[in-house]
Amino acid sequence: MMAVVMGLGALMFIVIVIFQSAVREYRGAQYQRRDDTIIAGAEAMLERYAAKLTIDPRYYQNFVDQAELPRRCTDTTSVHYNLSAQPGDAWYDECQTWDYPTDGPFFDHPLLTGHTDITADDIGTLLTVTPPAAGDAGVTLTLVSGEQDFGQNRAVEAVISPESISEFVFLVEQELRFGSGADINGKIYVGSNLDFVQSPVRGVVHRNVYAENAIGGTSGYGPPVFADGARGYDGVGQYLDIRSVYPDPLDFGNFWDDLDLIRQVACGGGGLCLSRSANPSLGLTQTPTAWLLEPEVAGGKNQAKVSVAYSNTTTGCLNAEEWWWLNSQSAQWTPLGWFDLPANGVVWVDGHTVIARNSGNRAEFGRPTTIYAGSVGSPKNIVIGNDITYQDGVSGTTVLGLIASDEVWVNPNAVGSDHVLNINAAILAQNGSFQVARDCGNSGNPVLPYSGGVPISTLNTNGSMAIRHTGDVAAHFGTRNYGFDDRLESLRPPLFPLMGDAWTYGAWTEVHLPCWARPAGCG
Amino acid sequence: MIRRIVAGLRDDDGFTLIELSVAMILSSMVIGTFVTMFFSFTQNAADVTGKAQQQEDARGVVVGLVVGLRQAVQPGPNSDAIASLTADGITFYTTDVGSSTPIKVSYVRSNCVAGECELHVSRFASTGISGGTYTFSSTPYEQSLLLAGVLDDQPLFAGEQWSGTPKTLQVVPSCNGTTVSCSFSLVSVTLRSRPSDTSEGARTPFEVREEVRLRNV
Repeated sequence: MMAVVMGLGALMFIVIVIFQSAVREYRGAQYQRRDDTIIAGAEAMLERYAAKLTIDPRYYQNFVDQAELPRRCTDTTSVHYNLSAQPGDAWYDECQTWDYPTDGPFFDHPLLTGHTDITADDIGTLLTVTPPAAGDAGVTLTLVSGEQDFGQNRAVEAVISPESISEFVFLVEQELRFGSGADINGKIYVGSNLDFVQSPVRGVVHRNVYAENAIGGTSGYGPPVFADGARGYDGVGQYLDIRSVYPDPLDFGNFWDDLDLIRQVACGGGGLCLSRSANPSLGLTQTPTAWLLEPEVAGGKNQAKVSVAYSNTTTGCLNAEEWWWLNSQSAQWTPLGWFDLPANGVVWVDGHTVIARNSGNRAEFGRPTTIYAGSVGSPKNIVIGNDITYQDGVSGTTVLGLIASDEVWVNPNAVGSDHVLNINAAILAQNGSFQVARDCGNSGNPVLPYSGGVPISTLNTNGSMAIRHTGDVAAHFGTRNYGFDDRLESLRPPLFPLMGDAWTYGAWTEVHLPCWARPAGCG
Repeated sequence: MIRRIVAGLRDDDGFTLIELSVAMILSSMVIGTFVTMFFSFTQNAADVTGKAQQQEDARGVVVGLVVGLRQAVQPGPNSDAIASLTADGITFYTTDVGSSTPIKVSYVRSNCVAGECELHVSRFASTGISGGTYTFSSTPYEQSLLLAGVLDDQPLFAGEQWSGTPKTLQVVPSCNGTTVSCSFSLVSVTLRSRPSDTSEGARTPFEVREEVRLRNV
């Protein structure tokens, strides 16, 4: 009898042990499942915010997101200093800094039908936004996501930024060759072959290079020296597979959508729209043949003096388009007035556009600006008529994007008596190249001086260059220093075309719960 | 009737040998059944507990691996977040939660005997930045056995990449960053393991499979 009782007791004990193991396993699995769901919820909100930034790159400056904590303006220069805005409200666009002094309710992801319907998956999210810091194009988000029924929260931080084509020192659709002694500090992407002269001084790359065809495979050329851990990616199997990084070849044709967005924002979204037809308020009675932009920041201004010309001359070997490449400095310009370079930095011009100085010896920009000339249906050139510099040097946040729907031309007269031309800009020649005008436009003899059979001028670029094909710059400038402005890896000229279709996030990392998300705060 | 029962109680003839034998046989059978059931339940309990423990350990290992992989970072502008990958091991760079300095982490399946291996992890601290790229100590600050009983019948790690037209998922079985790129953005983890503290019959493999998207690639 006793044995039976003990046996039954043992059996009950064993059953309890098995049950407890099962419960422990179930709880562990459920905790992990909720953790995964919480992370998925945070990520969904991150994607949502990135999508909003894709549509409106200044979304964070224009709105307090629905999932954001209430914001308070801390910018003492703003007329809205110390005022707050609630989630979903418009933000004070001149207020550049803010904090989050109060709690707010967690926001349920719109794809979920609501907290009451799906109690097991009631993912709520709260986020805070940190605007781009100096030298950075990324918007930092801190997201706290949680299942409130279980009090289970996790925090994620990520930076949402656009991957712009200005991140490449050279982005060339066709082949690209470098002369002796090239020293390249930025990424290169070439749609065909990439070659380097091997002697007397073999070129060096300090960043990864990508070629759709071969690297150094052309007769008489070779590969560069790969320094600082730089690697080559090609399409012929000599180096790493380019498809492992870029699943599809980059296509200049894909940039047109982004370029049209520039036009739309300039003419309908707070930019500067220089077009007789699209901006009647300019009061133009004739359609200009070219536009002259003379940026100036002296005296705290961030303006451009805009002038227009209504005629040009076809002389001898120069057609009407080529005439501007050589004669922009002597054209008859009619001043249109001073225009503020817009806060969103977007300028569209519907004609050939000359960038030149107003005073001093350079065209100087004081805020991030992108100037786009022409359109897909009416390609136009940008003509560089002077040194182009940034007021805050190359350590601030000012970057310039120069985009020609046709080509970018250097007027040889831009090179002064010092025989040096300095260009600080991210350049995109959507239909062609970066070129220097000859005495018959794109043919004839170089205008810039030679000595001993060698051109004596120096070209210093600091930025990036996206072109369909290379020009013959070496015939005009004996020394060519193509520098890469490494700020362009994180700082994008306003609305400069993107590598892909959307803003993406990076620097994704889980972090400890921020103070505002801890029940006990941080003391 | 009552008289007959009283007479029976007064009867002191005892049990016959047959009666005793039958009683002993029946008792033995009952006790034997209970003993068998007891040991069977005990073994089952141990098996269930062992399997649950193994599953919990395996899940814990995969959770840690997934968190690390998910936020893997490039240690420099010319580097990949994954340094190398084979069917038996992966080395990548990541950050600890709440830290911004990257570490190098290496998961290796090794010491295999009769198809069962150990899974080890090593973590290497950053020693600084050289040429814009983080460098790491060659001596791990942490080296531990994560799990025993890991089966070697399937690749533990594989890289995956969507490519081609139309896009298809290409598997990268191994990479080293020098001759084969480790630039892919998906890592597949298939951890199959057997519990060790169970009866032989209960050592059925348990599989955890995760496909991790590297958020920072």
